[in-house]
Amino acid sequence: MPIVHDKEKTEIIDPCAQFEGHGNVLSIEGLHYSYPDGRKVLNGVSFEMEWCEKVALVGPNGAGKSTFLQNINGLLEGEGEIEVVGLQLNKENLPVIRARVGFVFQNPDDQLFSPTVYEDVAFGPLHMGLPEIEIAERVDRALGQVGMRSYAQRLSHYLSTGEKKRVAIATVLAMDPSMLILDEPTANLDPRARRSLIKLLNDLPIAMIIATHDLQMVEGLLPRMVLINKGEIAADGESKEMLRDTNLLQRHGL
Amino acid sequence: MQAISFDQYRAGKSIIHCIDPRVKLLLTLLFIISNLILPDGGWIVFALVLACIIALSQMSSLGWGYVFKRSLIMIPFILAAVTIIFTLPGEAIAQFKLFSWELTISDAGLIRFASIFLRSWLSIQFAILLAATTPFPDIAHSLRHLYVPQIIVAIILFMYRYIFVLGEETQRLLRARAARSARIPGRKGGSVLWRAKVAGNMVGQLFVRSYERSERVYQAMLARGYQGEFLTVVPHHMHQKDWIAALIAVIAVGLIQAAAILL
Repeated sequence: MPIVHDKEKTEIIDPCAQFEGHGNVLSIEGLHYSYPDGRKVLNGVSFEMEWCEKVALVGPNGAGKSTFLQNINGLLEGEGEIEVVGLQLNKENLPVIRARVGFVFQNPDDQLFSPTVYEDVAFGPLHMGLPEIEIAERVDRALGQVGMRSYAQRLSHYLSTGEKKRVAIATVLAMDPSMLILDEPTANLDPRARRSLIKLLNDLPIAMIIATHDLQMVEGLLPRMVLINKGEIAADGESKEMLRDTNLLQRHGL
Repeated sequence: MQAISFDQYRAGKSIIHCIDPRVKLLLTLLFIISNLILPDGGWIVFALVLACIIALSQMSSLGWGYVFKRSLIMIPFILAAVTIIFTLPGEAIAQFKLFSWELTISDAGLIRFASIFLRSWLSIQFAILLAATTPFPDIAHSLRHLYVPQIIVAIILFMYRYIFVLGEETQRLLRARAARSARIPGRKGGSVLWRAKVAGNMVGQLFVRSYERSERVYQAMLARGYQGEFLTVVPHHMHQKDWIAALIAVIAVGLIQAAAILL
């Protein structure tokens, strides 16, 4: 009898081992950012994160979480030193950085802009200039990782929010990133979709920084928590400890 | 998801569904062009084309009834040609007064109008059959294969992707308005002018939202390596059946045109 491989379960090799003691996946030094109208959003944020570390970014609405995230891969240009995946963030390195840092936006309808799921997941690898065979392999693997392989030919707008979220994550996984940035991944999900998304994120062995209000997820998934308020880092430490400090949380609108 | 009704595609596994979309698109264009150059009053040829489209719709498992129902949508547009009945010189058939105009129906005009009507009606049926048996993204990609400029195809694809999202956005706005359109018994609602203002604000709101969304979508594209050039994967391959279908259709069009010349 032939050996049947279970196609939905992709074997993931642990890429973290090779980065052991190799410094930071992300280091930011004195990041300032103001909106075009002059309103200040970030006032000198300094931040470091190790390879394969999972970090929560929490803070009240308007604290500057999304702005901070968008500065990491150069979608917004603030003042300050940023080093991502070992590269200085500048115009020259931008394409490489974007290939290695996957950004999952809050609204999957913004992220999924192609008509079919397959094309959307193929978008990243395609624009990295990979050969067609490898694109197909990567799409297949990424959809397998999020358990959406059978959805490849579906049209994005017929998916449920949970399914869209999974596909949105697959679109960046197909680019083989070293780091994931997620903006409110559990927003608008029903409890079951939320649980399965958290499990999915837990199983991915790459660095991730997640902006969220979902403190329950922080406790279970993200060992480190960074509290940001009024454009500054107000606290940075172990999630479990910080979550017990109700005084601190309430002081910063959580 | 009420927006589903926008989509014309009806999934199926018929021969027509399985033909390569590029072939289908080209053949549809070929049939439409062939229809357009048929002579006025060539009733037998029109009947021949009708037989073609009926046969094709039956083969597509949709049935001609479906295509016929959809084809009625073109009737309002054909009204634009109605003046031909009265303006083309020819033998007068009937005369009547409409308000202060004296209108004369000429025989040449009537024949021309009926021919235009039939040509448009037959052509739209081919287009309907194409849209009903080919997923929209495939049609757009075929355009790309036929060297339609990238940017135009990209616009069409984005429109297709986001018309659903915008439709839902509009519905949410309307629902929010309806939910707050309360009325106290014995009092009248706002004036027409005020209501018009509200509706105007909603249109503006919708525009601003789409504009902001377009920025977010663009950012999502940048984040995944978009650098100004749109690329697509090429999923289509020509098979033997596609060539056979193309050959049969070209012969059919040839016969139709020959009949038009001979009859």
